[in-house]
Amino acid sequence: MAEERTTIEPVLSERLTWNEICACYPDEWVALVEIEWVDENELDFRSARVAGHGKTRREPLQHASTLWARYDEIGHFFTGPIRAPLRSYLMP
Amino acid sequence: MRITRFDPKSDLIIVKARVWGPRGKMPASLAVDTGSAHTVIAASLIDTLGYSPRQGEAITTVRTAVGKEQGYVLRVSRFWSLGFTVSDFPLHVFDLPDGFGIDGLVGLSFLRQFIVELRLAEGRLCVDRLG
Repeated sequence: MAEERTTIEPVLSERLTWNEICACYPDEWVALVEIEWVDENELDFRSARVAGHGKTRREPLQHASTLWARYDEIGHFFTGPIRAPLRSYLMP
Repeated sequence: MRITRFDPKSDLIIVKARVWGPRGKMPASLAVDTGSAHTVIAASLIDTLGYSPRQGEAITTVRTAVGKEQGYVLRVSRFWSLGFTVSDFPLHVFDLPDGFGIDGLVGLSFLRQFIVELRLAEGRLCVDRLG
């Protein structure tokens, strides 16, 4: 008998602006779908739905991994302040 | 000429980039780093896009703030940043630290394909094709 495999898709948030995403998921990595771009060149967006979030870079990507069947674009961003490392990120 | 704006008050020059893979495309935030010879991307993004380390062309090692880090060079089908797309573009793939909020670096391997004018005080990067 063939084993039936099911994939559980993450629950998407309602449509949120970037400021609302930052307020809901402070200092977290987020995976975004259904991104409504304002300017494709600057990658500014009006709103998006959050498909995954977490404290590590990998967490939201794992949450959203089942969504590639439905979406051809998944955004990945950090909601907190971007900090420079004390030393160069990569040494030559 | 394409103009990309960034926050001049930020510690780093943060710009957006898009990487294409077998599963689709991913926009992410990268730091422009003229001190990096290579363009670098986090391994977790590359894995999510459907690439495998087995597709890597070479293993590379870099010294980081926390020691030596091993990664690999991978050609992605398309890479976009600063308003321009490059096909079959080599990226250096590493497990980057989570804490800085970026998914990699736009290094000289990308920048030297263009005329790049960096206006730090204005928070603008003006980029044009060579020739």
